[in-house]
Amino acid sequence: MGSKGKPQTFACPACGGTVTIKAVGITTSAICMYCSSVIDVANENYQIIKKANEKMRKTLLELGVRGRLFGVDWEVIGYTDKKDGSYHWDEYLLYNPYYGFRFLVQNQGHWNFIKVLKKDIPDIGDANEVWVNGKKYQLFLKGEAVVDYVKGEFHWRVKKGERVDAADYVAPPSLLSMEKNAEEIIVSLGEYLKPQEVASTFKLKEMPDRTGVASNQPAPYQGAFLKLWIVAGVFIAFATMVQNMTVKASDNADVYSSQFQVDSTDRDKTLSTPSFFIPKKNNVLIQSGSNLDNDWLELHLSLVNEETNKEYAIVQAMEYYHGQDIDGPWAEGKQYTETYISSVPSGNYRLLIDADSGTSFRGINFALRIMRDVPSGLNYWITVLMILVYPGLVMLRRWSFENKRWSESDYTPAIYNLRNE
Amino acid sequence: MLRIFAIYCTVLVILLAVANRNGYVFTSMLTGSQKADKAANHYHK
Repeated sequence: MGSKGKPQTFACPACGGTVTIKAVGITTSAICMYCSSVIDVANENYQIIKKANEKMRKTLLELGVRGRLFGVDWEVIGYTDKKDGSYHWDEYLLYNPYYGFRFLVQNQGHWNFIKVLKKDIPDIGDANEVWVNGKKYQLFLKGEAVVDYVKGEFHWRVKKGERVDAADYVAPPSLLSMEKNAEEIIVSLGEYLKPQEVASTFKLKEMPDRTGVASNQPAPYQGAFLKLWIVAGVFIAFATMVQNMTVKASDNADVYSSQFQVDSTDRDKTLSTPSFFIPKKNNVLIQSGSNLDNDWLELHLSLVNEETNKEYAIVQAMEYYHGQDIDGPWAEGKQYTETYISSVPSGNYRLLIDADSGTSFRGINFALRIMRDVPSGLNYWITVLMILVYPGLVMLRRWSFENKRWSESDYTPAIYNLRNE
Repeated sequence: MLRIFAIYCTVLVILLAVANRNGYVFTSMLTGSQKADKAANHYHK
């Protein structure tokens, strides 16, 4: 046998074609690229394990292609097309003389870089979750993997039609894969790779389209999701501080309050409050209330600056109805309302009032109270809401992503199990 | 992305502080209850 790292060639015992092996001394079976016969290369007798007469298929990554992944140069030395029913996936065997073997698996446009674990994982294949290196892996699928096609060389005896029981466990972006037959159990640990990474590593111009969500594909904001909520929490705390300071610094002062009585003779009249003074630029809160009884009241209010004639117009509407029906007493509407007017400059003001009420417009009493520099919780709650919008959207996106992921599994955690509801 | 979100939150908190300081109420600004520079001579009637 040749020395480590130097390829060795021999003639295929079935067709005479030249067969080259790269992992000399480790490879135990090789597939002739001319006739696809599987040859035992564990010793120099080169016996046929399985004779075939099949033309070699073209694959996305051809044998001999090299690329650098995770800081190591790898060469593609083997390829298997595996299937479970009608569902196929590609497994490329990568080799580096100093690092050994890895697998590059392509499944519906999703890629995984996989290393065989030399570790015993208790209950793998039976348990719904297993722990490896302090990480919990959730059972995703169980099935059977059948070798449908092989080419290249392998460090185990591989042949078409070979069957193993398989189970995949996921902890995105990691994948724990188990393959078991009568003789052995092989457990491998995989890491999700972005297709662009594979394309640039092996200089591929065309890649299979990515469909669906892979079992271990990282969800949007994987790793940064918690940080996003921490940032949101910190800024909500800042907003709360600002709001508390505003409440403490506010004058919250009464400017004017009075009672009014209107009847049908006042329908087209404009009432006016006496002049009142607003000492500094801030908001003005106008509160109104009435003892409405199966009636409505609409107040057209104008806060007018006596020096500049600048007008701040608002409409306040109240209605209150009540009665009795077969379900008992009922009541709807309200007898009170309030409106903020933003950033009113200092100066002397009057409030002009146009009142309108129900068709009868019988005598109606209402009270008005004008306050200035009143802290509003609305600004604070709108700010909090605006802060939460983005993390909320990300959370929804992640939830829908996980839902899509687990819709492909027979072992969906209850939280994503919407299909059976 | 996290940085952009932090900048966005900073702007929101500054807006809250400025609005509170000057007596702006976001909802009354949105509903447009404030009509500037409109002549109002009603009370001279």
